[in-house]
Amino acid sequence: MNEKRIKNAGIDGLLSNYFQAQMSNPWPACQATAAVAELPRRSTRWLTFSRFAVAASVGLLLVGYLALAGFFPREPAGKINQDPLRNIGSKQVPGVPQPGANR
Amino acid sequence: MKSRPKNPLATDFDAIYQRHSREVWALVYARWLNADVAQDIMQEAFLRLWKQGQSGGVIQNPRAWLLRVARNLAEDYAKSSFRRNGTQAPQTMNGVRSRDLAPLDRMGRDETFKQVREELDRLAPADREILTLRYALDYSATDIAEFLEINATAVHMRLSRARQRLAERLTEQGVKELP
Repeated sequence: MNEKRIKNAGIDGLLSNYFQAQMSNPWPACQATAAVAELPRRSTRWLTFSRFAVAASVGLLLVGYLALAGFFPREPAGKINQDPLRNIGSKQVPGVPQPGANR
Repeated sequence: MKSRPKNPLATDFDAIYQRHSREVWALVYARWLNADVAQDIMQEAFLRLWKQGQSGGVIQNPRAWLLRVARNLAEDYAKSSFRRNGTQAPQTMNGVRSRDLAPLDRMGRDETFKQVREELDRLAPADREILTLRYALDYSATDIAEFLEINATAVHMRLSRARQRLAERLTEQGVKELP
């Protein structure tokens, strides 16, 4: 009985040593997340700046458009194409009255 | 702007690796009794899990998923040409020297370990699995029962039987001093 107990303790120790020797020590680190951590990350400050730059550009375009529109007032809709000078250079087609000819 | 919910596979990957990598290794080791193969397959299983996380896949039970993938990979390994042929002819590989020279006092231990490996190889795969979980991961019978989804009493019986069989065979092999 005593002998068997010693034998069991021996096999326990042997198997523990055997399996511990088979396992890597230290245990390998998680490579995938380490690789991801090394990727360059854009800072939040840079992101904020670029977003602000896009918003400012859009705002500037809008202001420019409105300012230019103020310099060149639009013609009222009814008067479009009534100016005879608009027909300069247009070819006269027989049978088709020239716009503004009956004026 | 509402932020997208984070994928737990991507955020907790490191924790999953820390928690389950040894179990995955042990499962494959019990199958092939080769530490390097077990490590390669363990890494492949985790790589697949990582890719699954990156592609937005949701896995409810990463542990079960990993163990299933590792089991399949371990079975595929049996069919692989790498296992059958290796990378080089045996005579070439015999000439490759280890990085660290084994001192003389390690020779005896290595010889004993070689015999242990041979005897483990002769055991039933299920017994090998139990021994690996018990001695590599230091799992209790309850842990093993939970892992293998069997009764704790059955674990006790199989563990005791496997240990006894191994001790008898090693004694027959002439292993007198157990380190």
